[in-house]
Amino acid sequence: MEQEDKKTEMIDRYLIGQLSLWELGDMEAKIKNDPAFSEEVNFQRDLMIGINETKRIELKKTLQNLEPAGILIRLQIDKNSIKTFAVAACILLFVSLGILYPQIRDASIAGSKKSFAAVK
Amino acid sequence: MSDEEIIYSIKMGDQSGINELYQLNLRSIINQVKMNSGTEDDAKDVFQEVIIDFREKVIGTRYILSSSSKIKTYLFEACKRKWWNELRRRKNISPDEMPEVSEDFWQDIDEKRELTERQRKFTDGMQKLGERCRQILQYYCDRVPMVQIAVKLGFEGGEQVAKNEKAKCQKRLIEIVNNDI
Repeated sequence: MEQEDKKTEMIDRYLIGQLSLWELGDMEAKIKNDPAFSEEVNFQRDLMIGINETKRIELKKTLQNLEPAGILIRLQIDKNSIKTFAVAACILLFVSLGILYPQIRDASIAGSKKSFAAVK
Repeated sequence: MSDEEIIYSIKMGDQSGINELYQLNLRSIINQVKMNSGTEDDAKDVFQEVIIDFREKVIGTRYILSSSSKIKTYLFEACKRKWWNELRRRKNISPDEMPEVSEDFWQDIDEKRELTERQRKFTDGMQKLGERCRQILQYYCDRVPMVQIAVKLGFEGGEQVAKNEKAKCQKRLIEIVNNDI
């Protein structure tokens, strides 16, 4: 029984590509020379393909229920976009202040003068 | 997630990376397919197939991440190719009108997936297994390390318990299929 389990484990490792080069050589020779063993490998391969197919079906169902991400989610996930957005916002703020500040200042001084004159 | 994080999450049997890839790129794929005579449903179908194939490539180490190829670029090109093939099939377009691409790149994008009767029986048999057995076998086929499977499924005995459970589940699946044959 233990021998059987070891054989199955070896075939599994062969099918998922986890054998060392030495083991691989032995395995391929055995597949070539022993038809019964070769059939066991084929059986195990079919089993793994069958299992894999269920994963594909389940994954497809999951994806079918997902909607595209909105712009805000995309920004949250993409850190580079956040950095770019923050830098752009800062530049825009400084430029706007640079343009508007003289006007605000002049308007504020003019307003103060008017109020002062009115009080006088 | 960065490309490296997505690859790691797929290799660890975690689906969040796949979901993120799908959700972030779906809108652009839909636009591309719509501009090329397709519908939103066509785009979703193509993208789902491409992303499932991509996941299998990553698990089977057939996809090697390099600094010059981003996952997004790979997925877009794969979708373009798949959609062109689908259009060609539907409208009988000549192969000369296909976009030019290196053949190596596309080697297995259009592999036909036809299961043999025995493979189909194993797929059906999986539906008759319990949830936990299904998960163990799927993780195992996804090459998730046994230690990791033990953690994910909460086996207190660790790797050895996970191995024993996997062997039991595999035997159970074979029994189900053999009884069915």
